[in-house]
Amino acid sequence: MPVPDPVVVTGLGAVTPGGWSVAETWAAVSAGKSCVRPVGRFATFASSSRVAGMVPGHDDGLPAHSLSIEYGTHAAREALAMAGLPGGATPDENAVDLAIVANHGERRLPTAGGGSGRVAGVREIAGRIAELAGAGRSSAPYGACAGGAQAIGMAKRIIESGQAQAVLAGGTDALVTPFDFFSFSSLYVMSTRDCPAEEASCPFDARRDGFVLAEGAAFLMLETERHALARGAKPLAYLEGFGLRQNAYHMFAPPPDGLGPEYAMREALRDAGLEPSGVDHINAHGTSTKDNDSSETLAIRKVFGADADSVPVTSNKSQLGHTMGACGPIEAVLSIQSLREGLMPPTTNLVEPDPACDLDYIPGGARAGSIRHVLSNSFGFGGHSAALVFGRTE
Amino acid sequence: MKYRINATCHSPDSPAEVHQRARKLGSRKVLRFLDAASLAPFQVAAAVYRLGPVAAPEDVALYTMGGWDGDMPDQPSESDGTAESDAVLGRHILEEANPVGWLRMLSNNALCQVSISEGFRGPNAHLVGGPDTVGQVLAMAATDLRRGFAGQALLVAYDTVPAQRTYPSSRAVTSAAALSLAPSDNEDALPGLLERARSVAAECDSVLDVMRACIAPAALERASW
Repeated sequence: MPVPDPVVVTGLGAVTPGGWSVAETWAAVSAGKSCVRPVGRFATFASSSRVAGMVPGHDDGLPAHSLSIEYGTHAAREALAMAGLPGGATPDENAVDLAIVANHGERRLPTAGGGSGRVAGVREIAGRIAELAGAGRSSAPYGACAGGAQAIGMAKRIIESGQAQAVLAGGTDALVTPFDFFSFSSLYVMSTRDCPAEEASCPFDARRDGFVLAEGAAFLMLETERHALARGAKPLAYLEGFGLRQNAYHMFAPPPDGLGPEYAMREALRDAGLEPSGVDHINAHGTSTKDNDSSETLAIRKVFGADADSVPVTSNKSQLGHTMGACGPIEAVLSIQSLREGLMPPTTNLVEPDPACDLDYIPGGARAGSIRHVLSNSFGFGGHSAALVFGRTE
Repeated sequence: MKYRINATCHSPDSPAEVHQRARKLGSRKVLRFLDAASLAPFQVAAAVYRLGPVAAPEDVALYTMGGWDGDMPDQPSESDGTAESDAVLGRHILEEANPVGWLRMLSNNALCQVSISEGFRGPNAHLVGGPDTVGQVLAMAATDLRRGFAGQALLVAYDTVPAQRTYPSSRAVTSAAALSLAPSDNEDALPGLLERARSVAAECDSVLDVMRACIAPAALERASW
């Protein structure tokens, strides 16, 4: 069987609660700075959840336009520019074959007099990003919190199939709106802890009681190594592995046995041709919910065995909150920054260890190290478990 | 690797018949999460597997795709800023909201429920998209099979009539069609499928039209499901 041409990352873009670029986001996350704030853009009434991770701006109210499109186009433009590709008003219509844009549409509450409250549909959001990139085709994985990782992994599979050479993949979600905030609230999955806003997201800590809803976007420009080098682009990292499995357990509860996440990590490592001992760092899904963090810890222990204790694990959600369909791409961007900078961000707010979460989560502050391979996990409502492996290029 | 279509399936035309068939395939626990938008893809995904099981359920990849992108039934309205209106919205949020209504509007719901019901644990994704999506999913599924990530791949397309694409999940009546892709020692159906998906996609508006065109030559459906 012929060995497929490696898939490389040539561009990164991000808009997050940490800022409007990869550099700003990396600065906040690597410093362990929490970006969670009280929600001021709409009334939370007597809801016991009152905080969120919001992109700077639009703090005082929601605009009429789609924030998903605003964040998504900004992040896509940064990724295209870093890859040396034109985007926007004069995209090169032959440069990007396909845009894969995980998102969940954008809605407000309808007004009492009628109307649906719809701001932008899923296809419209994906189409706008594709248009910016000059991509003739687009699609939109709807995989909840795993959707963005699915987008990146799908790009790898499609490039490997020979059906595309250059794909812009990522996700954008702006769900800090009354519609989604109150819907998550009704499921009792968000943090209601009585504490300062910046301490609410505390993955793997014994006090964790739910995730903190957040918003943002991130994109990766992916292409075959041959294609990148032929056009003079500099590979930033290898996308070495992708694993995708279904929990087949519950609509939104993680499996207590960690089976789906375990299989996803094993498949990603197999795809990368790596043994667990080859992984230097894990960027965890780490939502700060009771069930996810213990399930993910168990799954990591099953996959890594005795090596589990020596692999530093971080959760970027401790600084940014949970950006839903954008979290996989944002954490992919930060995983690649870790590879390039030799620095593993901390898990902020990890103060009281939980016996069910007994790995090295990098408490306290960022840690330097030589990192060759990073594993990044994303798990979502609907039972999707995804894992990505990125490798250093030099 | 070569590929064959080993089973195909369409949902019945009648919504009542779709519901009846779904009831034979899913438990009450699963069915309570399904309403109009998700019944047809649920029924067709389960049926196409039962028509031609090649791999164990845990080794089955499932890709669903659809144009429906609708809303939640009975969602609350925005407050007009008066104390009375605030009270109505606050009461709805804190006391009356039914979280199941929100879960039902998620368009990956059918994929999730049929995976629970049938035990599918392989690669999986739901894509909201247009006709191009079928070709992308075929490419992914073929790679999954070739690289050994799955032993069988189910591809399910579903959609409403265009006017209902943004309807709430309870009122968006969908139809579905599916094919099962498996490794083959002889024939190779993949090049023809990709070409048909590409050419039909250029002329239609829906993933469902493309899937119907892809499976028409295979005509493997049996009536038992």
